[in-house]
Amino acid sequence: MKKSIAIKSLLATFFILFLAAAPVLAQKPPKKAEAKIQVSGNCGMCEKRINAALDVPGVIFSSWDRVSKTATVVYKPRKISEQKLHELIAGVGHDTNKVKADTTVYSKLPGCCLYRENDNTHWD
Amino acid sequence: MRIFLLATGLFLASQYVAAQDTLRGFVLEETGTGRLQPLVAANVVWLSTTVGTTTDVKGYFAIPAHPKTRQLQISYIGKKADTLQIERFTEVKVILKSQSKLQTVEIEADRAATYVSSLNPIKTQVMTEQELFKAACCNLSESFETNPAVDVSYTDAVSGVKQLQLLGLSGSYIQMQRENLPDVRALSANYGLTFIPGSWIDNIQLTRGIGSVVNGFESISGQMNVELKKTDSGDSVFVNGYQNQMGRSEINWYSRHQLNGSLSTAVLLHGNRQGMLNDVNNDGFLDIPTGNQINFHNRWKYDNGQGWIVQGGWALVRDRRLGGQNSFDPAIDRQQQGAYGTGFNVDRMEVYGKVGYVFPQRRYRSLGYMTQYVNHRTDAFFGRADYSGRQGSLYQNLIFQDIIGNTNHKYRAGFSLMTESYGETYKQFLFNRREVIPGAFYEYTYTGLRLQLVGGLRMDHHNLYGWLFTPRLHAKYDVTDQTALRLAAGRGYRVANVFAENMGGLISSRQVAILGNGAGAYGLEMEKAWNFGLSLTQAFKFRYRDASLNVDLHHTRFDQQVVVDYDYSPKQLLFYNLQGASYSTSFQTEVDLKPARRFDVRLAYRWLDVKTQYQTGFFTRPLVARHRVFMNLAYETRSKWMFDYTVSRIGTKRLPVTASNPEGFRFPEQSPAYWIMNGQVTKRFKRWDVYIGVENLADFRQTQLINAAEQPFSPFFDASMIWGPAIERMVYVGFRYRIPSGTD
Repeated sequence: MKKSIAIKSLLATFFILFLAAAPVLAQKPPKKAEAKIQVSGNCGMCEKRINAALDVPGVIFSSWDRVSKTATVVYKPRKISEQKLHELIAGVGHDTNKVKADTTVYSKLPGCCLYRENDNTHWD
Repeated sequence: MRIFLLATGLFLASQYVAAQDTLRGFVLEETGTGRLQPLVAANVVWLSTTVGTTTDVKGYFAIPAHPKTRQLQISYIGKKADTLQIERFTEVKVILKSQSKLQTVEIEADRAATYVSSLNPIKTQVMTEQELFKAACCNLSESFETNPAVDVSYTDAVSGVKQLQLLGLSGSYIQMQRENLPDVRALSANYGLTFIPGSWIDNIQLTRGIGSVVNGFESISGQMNVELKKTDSGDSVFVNGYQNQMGRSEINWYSRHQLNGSLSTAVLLHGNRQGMLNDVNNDGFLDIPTGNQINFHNRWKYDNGQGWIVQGGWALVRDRRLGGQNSFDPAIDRQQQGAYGTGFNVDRMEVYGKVGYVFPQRRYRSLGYMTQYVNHRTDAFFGRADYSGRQGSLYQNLIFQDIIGNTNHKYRAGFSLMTESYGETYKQFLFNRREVIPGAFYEYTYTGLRLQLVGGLRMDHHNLYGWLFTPRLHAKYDVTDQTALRLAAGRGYRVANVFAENMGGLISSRQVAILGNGAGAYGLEMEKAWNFGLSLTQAFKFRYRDASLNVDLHHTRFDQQVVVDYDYSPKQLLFYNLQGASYSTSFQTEVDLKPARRFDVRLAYRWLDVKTQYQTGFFTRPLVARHRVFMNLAYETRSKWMFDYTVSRIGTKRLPVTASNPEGFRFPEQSPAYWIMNGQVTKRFKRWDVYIGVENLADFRQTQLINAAEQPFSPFFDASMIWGPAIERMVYVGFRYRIPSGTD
């Protein structure tokens, strides 16, 4: 009986501590995070463009897989937000699952990259 | 009958299974005229594995299915790499886009500037233009500043000629080729490196240890193949200019022209001039000889798209050098004046042709024939001694290629014929010889899922040395998808050209003595060696990026060697047949990393043990550093500024014995260890590159460069004892201008 009270109070203490810590955690995001972003595109040129767009301070590493249309971005949330990553990608003409690219930017892409018209991921 | 049917059924079933397990396809490129043509030797690899293959002359490949991945990566130098998702094992057709065709200037590296082809059982390092740009000067001898496997040093303190060293053995043990034709060999050894301007080079393929038997029996310490810029791909115009603070000026030109749908040509031009007199260390000798070179190469290619490919070209080199003491006057008779001079004149002419035919119904069956004629003349003097050399060489090689059953079993077989004549004079001695070497070869390649094998045999008959049997074996085993083990063992032979390969030793008062008694070249035996190699390639991730570790172990053992002996006496240079043991053991480990975006790091350590039985004992070969530590850093900013920095720690070397000389004319027994650094900054614009660089940044120099420099006609004079940098800190500037393909 005594024991269970002890456990309960311990749990309660943890709970309170957790509640206290939560806002602190929310204020201080982790040093490093990985984002998986759906990015439309077709070819190797698209891959280069997407990676070039993500070549900004705060981004440690980026890659884009043309088959799964997924960009993997390792970034520093204290320096750059995930939303900003989406905006950067859309800024060079590639739609993401959150931000659509501007039509005028998109229309200036080379022919093979026009993913809205044709999906020529590969030539087999 | 029933049993027969069953057997047939099983057979068919197994065939079917085999077909299911192998992916076949073509890799093609679009030419300037919009036609599709096969890409030969494109790399086809299962993504993030070391399992792969290369395409044949028809652009065809077959690769066994991989249990873990369905993503196939296809890459080719100068092309945009492509990755396919393989859903069905039908035949695929891949068209690789030219990198330079991209309108947007994105020259971001898809692959490392130097890479080891992960699929070839023969471990071959490919150095691309990107790597060669890291050190901008000047010709093939300077292309290895960022490669820790190859040591580059001056042959002597006067001629300004550099030599290569691989596995601790002199550069002449590397079989040198230019597009699979012999080059930089025989009478143009060492010096011939200066006849291949860096700006002409598309890429360099370097194999440590023995190479393929298809190219001959000459590779002992390694094999090198230099590919020049092509007639039908890449930039349409490329111009490079270079100037250094020592007064060396260079200009390079390359342009290619598509004359019609099937005919293309390229013109390559090079000129260099050294007009300024430099003597920074005030020893009375020019640091670099004055002179100039004109170098011309014109190549052609005909491809009718129906199986016939014909290539050919011709080349001319004229090189003039004058060096020695500042006070030397070439207008005065050399025997009459007190000043020491050296002169080096080369005139060289070459024509070559290649014909390839691919059987239209059998796309893996092809026949190739190549031939080359070289006429080389050297006229030189070293003080009061004269040397002249004449060489005429006719090379022919016929190669038939096919598969056995399926593309897991390939073979190449053929015949070669080398016919050469040499005439040399040194002082009053004459050396003439004629070599006729017919040969036949067979090479089998097995490509399994994890194991790949190349076994080669060749038999040659040398008119002076008799039958030469050359067995060679290369194996690669993929322990895991990230780990590859390679093994190589084989035989190599060569004829030593004692004068051309040891020209530096002639710039001394040493009396040359050739202690031969046979009927061969210079009365000496042919050099015969075994080479064994073991290597490990480990791919891993470092900070999310691809990185690699390479460990290489090589052992070369000579049965017969022409020993070059600087140690018998400081007044003599002896050449004789090996009596006893001679070997070289080399260990190298190299790590390539990308710690951050656009940042490349290469770290290496190399250890050598090279010993030979000399007349006076069994000891370490002189002028070979046992240890070398190497680091290369390359960083590129977002705004296309590129920074390259290379630093090497060269360990101590044993110097030739000079103990019997009077005091004041002796060298220490060992050279000190030293650091050498180079750096370069390049700014890239759309069509222009501008660069500035420094060689020997720390300005470390060998202080006692020439023995008895004040008395060049005394018996102690010697300019060949060079162990360190002979040139001061040197700044250079240059530019590159290119017109990308399809925009002119």
